[in-house]
Amino acid sequence: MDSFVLQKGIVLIEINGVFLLVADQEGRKYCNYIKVINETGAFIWNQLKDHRSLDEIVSNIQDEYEILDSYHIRKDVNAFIQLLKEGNYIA
Amino acid sequence: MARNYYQLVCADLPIAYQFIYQDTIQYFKGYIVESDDIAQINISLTNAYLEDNRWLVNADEKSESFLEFQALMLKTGNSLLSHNRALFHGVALLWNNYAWLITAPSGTGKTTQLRHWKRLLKKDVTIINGDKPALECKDDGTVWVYSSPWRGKEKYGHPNIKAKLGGIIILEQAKYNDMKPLAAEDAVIPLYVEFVSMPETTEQIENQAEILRSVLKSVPVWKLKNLGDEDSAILAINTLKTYYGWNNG
Repeated sequence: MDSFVLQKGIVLIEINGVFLLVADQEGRKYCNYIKVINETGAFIWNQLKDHRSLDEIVSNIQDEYEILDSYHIRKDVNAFIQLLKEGNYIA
Repeated sequence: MARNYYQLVCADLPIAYQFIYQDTIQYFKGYIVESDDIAQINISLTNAYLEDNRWLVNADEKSESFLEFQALMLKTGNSLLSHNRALFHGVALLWNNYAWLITAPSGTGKTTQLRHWKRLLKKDVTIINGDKPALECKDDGTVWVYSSPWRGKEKYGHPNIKAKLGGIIILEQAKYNDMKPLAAEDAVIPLYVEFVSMPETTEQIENQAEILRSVLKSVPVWKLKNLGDEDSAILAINTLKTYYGWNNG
């Protein structure tokens, strides 16, 4: 089962509907200070934080947003996870 | 032995500083107080912290005390976050009993705008701080603006002025002048990046977010696309007058 380890020192904050990943002193050793993500990205981030697997994340997005098409969700989640890996947000 | 321990009041909060370099005190003139109040924040730096933050000064900067002054700004900005306060990058003006923040990335024309306002409004406007004013979010939902020792190279500002925040103007260079209200969600990023801080902890990050939420809840924000000319300042002043119904005053 695939699982992901998030970088330490990264905080997800929401201000007036804007979602930001903000790095503290420890997190800035590996990641940019601020990264803007969208609401779905924030949902996925929280799923990763709760140690959900890819299958669980896809299933939970289907439930949360009432979407039937799991193929495209899986593709989008993979793309977001790849983005996080490239930014060192996933260790 | 020369003294290197001083206290100042920033945003109504007593802060104690212990300097590495004795001549760092020169940058705090007018802000040091002789007080028996117990400091709410104690700040001292290490040489390692100075080295880590050398990016705060130009590469050709020779003065280590100026580096310490700038590094103290960052440390102060971080520390204030735990007290519902923050240092903010922008110009703070007092006009019609309210404080107005004009903010933008460096080199975008804040000081030019400030000079236009001063020329147009003369004694009706007072500069609270020309570069890094302090903000305080009070329990009643209001946001107050204070000066700080970090006033920019022109050293505009007065230590003892504070006022309730009336609104924020975000400057953007353009080939025309136009001023429009900005939705709160569109103001989040341009304002977030102007906080003078590099939060060290999760708590500081969350506190900074809460301060920005309070600011956005408390006052309107405008975007002023401008040429940097006097007409842009006239447009800004007239827009605020209309918004607050001060046209007849």
